[in-house]
Amino acid sequence: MASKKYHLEAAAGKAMERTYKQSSNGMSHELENQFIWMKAKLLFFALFFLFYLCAPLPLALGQTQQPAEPKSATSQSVPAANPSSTTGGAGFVGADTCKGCHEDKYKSWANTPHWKTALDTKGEASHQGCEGCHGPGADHVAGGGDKTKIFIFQTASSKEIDARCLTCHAAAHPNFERSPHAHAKVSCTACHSAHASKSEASLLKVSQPQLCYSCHTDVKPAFAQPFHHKVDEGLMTCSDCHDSHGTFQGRMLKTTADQNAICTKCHAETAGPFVFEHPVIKAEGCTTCHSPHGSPNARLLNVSNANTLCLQCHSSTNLAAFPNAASEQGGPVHNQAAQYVPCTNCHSQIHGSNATYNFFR
Amino acid sequence: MTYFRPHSVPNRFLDQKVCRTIGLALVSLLVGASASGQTADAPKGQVKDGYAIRQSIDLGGRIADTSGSGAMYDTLVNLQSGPRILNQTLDIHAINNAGHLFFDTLTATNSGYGGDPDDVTTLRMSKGKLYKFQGLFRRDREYFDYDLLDNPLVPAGVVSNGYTFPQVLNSPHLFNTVRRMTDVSLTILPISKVSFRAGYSQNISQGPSFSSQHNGAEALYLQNWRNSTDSWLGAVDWKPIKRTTLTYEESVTHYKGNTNWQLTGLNLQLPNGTPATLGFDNVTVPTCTDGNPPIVSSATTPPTANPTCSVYTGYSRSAPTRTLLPTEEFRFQSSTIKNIAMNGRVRYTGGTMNLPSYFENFQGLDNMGKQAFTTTGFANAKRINVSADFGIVWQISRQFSLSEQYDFWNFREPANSNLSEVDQLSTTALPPIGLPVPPSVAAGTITIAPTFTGLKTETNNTTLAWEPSSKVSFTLGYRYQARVIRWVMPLATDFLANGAAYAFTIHNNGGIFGVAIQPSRQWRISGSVEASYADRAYTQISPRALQHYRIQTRYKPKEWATISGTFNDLERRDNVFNMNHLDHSRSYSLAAALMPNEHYGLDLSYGYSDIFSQTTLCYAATPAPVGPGAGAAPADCGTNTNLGNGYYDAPSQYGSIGATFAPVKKLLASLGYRISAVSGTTEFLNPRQVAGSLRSKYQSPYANIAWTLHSGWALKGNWNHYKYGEDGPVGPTLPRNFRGDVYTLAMHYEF
Repeated sequence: MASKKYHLEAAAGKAMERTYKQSSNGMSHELENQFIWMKAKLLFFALFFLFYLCAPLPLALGQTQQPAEPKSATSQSVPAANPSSTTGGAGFVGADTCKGCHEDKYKSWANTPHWKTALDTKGEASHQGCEGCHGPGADHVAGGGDKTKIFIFQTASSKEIDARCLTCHAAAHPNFERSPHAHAKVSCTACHSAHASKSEASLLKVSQPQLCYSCHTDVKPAFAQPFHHKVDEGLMTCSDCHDSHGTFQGRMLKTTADQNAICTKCHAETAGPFVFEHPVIKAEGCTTCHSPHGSPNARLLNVSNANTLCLQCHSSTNLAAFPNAASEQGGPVHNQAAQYVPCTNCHSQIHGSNATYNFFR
Repeated sequence: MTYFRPHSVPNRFLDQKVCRTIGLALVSLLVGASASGQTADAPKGQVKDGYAIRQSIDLGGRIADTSGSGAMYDTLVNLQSGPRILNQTLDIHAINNAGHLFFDTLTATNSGYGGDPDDVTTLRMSKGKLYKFQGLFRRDREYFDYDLLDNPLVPAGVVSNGYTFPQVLNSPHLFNTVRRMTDVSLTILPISKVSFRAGYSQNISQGPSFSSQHNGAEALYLQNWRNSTDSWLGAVDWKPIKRTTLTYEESVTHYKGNTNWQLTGLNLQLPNGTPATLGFDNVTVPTCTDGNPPIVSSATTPPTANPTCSVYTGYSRSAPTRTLLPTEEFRFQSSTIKNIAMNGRVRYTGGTMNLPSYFENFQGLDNMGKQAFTTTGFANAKRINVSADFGIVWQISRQFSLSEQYDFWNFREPANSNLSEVDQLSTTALPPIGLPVPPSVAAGTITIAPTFTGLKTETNNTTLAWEPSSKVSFTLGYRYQARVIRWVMPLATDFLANGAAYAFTIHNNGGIFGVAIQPSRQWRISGSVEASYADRAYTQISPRALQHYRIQTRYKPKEWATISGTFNDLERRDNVFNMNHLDHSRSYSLAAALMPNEHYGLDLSYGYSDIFSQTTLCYAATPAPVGPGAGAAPADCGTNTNLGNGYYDAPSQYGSIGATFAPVKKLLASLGYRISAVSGTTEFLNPRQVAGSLRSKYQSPYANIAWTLHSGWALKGNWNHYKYGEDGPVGPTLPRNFRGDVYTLAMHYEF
């Protein structure tokens, strides 16, 4: 069943709505639909002429009107293409013309950073105002609001949407086309809305982390674990560590300027460089020992017992394969059963030390 | 042991006082609301000097009622009673975006001030095409006292001469620090051909904490945590031609490490009255070199310790460290050439670490016969990082595209330390009797350690994408990575008789296949399978073989309904003989958000995850452990004769439900419940170990209500319940279960 909604407006600004249901093979509804359709057409034409005759009056009185979404077969009077504050060009009509029919969209756009495109007088009309995103509007206006003559994000493919946005934003997001989001058909408008955003700075549809949770449902439980980074508390956001537009690193992770793990931006005391590095940290990364989203284990460790974590690597069970296992062979024997001491009680500077090779201090 | 805590005893008088204060404040705001004369139709905000100004503030407070483990509540929740500025917003927009000197748009928000553990302030300003400014300030109170972490699990009943060695009831690595993070960035001429960026970040982390060290006995240190980082950024972006941008960026990071350590926990005395400690890890009665008990007398206050035991009477350490990391980066991005999009960057960091004056002093008696030692010296290190990355996407045809990414990364960290230790030897911690005599001083030990850590990585990713229609696309990728890890540590140690130096090379090949389907505009499904194999592994838990399976789907049958689900399975293994490392992370999750109208809404989430790992490991244990997995270790393990499997399994479930109601325009209410439960098991290397948080439930039901009294005035109430409980035994520490109810009352005012 296909349904179409038509918004009809009287001169007084009231909106009327009638819903049609058209059945592709529903012969049983045909007569009823024809009767309804005939009455609607009569009413529509009556209102159309009334509006056409009276349209200058409310504009002169300064009243605002709801924008019309005219049916293509019955063209409604639209403002002629006018010179606007944006630079005109072939096929471009300027944002003020768009405002004539789409005032609510215009207003929402004017409250976002995108309005600044109208200031780019040296740039082309293709980068300014509404037409910077939706393309030239002259044919759309001339066609009485013909939707086939304008770029509509809601009906475009993810690739087309990405290409549109990257026309201007490619410099800020140069890795997007190679990113997992792009490959998964997560287009720009999956997260951002130029007209109905909740977060003005990034025009996000919904704030973080709820936006990210809406797809990454497996991450939300991780942040609900007893020990977690404070994302749900509002202290951090997903974009503190990840760049959802893609990076050169895996998992869309950011790095610090000196190419250290992004973790060291906050946990600066672990960055080093140290005289005595714990080499696995620099070679394999922080996730060798930690689960950064959340963990049932304290300090976000991967396992509950710190000694098990250390012994996983520091055991010489196969020296041929792991000659650098560095398990104690002739040195002090740490009797795990009796004198149980967590490794980090003594090896407290475990991220690296400038004083002792064994990370005692 | 007495440790730091925001509150150690629930203060009913304080809560009553807080209630009265908050109540009076709300009543006065209510009176103000009714006297304001605002009608239901009065517009919020005002227009002044060409700006539309809207502000809001939520003033109120919290009342926290807790029972059980205050330490655990402060670690996981840490919401205390008191008045708050819960939220504040300021929004200023120039009308018609025109004609103002300093800014067109200014928005500011504040939340959590007055006593919450997390405070956040944001500020954004911009003016046309002239500039754009963003600022963020965050303050985070990090209180941590999970008492099982780093706890030696001293059992009850360790007695010497009538003195019972104290059990460790808090974490010996407790933290009570505050982190303050500031991030600001300014862009000048953001939409011009040439634009400039400047940024500054500051991260200050400070506060008291505990640490520990071993010198014969295990001593508790007061660790005055004081670290800060300042980072500056300057950049130029130039668009020489259409769709091409060149960027030069200079960033400098300066780190200051001023943490220092002092001995604490001096709960005993030597026979001459000097305060002393035998350490905190006395799981058995310590032995002393003179053969006598460690406690000479328990009748004194404090009890008297045997000076021939491993004992601390004084300790201090400082290691002021300064690190400077300047980085130069050149970037380019271009999609000027038709059907080609490419970008790249080159980075160079030439950083230095300098520790000009290391100082450490110990007094007491350690297990090497040192009555005192003093270590001084210096250390320095460099970080030279060179990296280059290049990516290109070639849209071959409407259906096919090919992308290539090459990454080169090479860092080198040569370092050097030069420390001199002067020892004072003795058989007792007591100073010599009678006239002072020169102590027996061993020859100073000078340790010079030139070390090196380096890593060179080259990675190549090639991906072919096929999009037969706008509804479906396939990607097939191949990744090759070569890494060389280099390490030099020349010192002879107990396990590295001749030091260590190696260059360890790893080659990794991997493939990834992905599919993305959009059967309709409302429904998106994506999935990928990744497999890789490395010829070597750097550590036992680094995977040689990896498989990653992922499916995600998101369905929006209506604008007001979203249903999504994820299956994510990461399998890794390093099944070399006598290693048998296996680990997996598997999760299944579903979520639904339904908001059919402005009156009702429902939010549901469920997730199940299983985190598992096992690795053959060898260790020493007397008595030997029993049970599955226990066995004799191979000869290479030396004196670590027991074989374990490092078994760890943490199946977790998460569920949440939340409903919102707005039956009338003036009333908004919500009700919800969240639970996170883990029922894990692990190999215990020690008989006193317990599962702790590995077998726990964390529940947090909540309820909110907001009643609009007048236009712009609303009364808000919020209840959050926090309940944490563990399934297994407590162990030789304090219990960790807690309950917390936090009531938040606030008046919301918009103007």
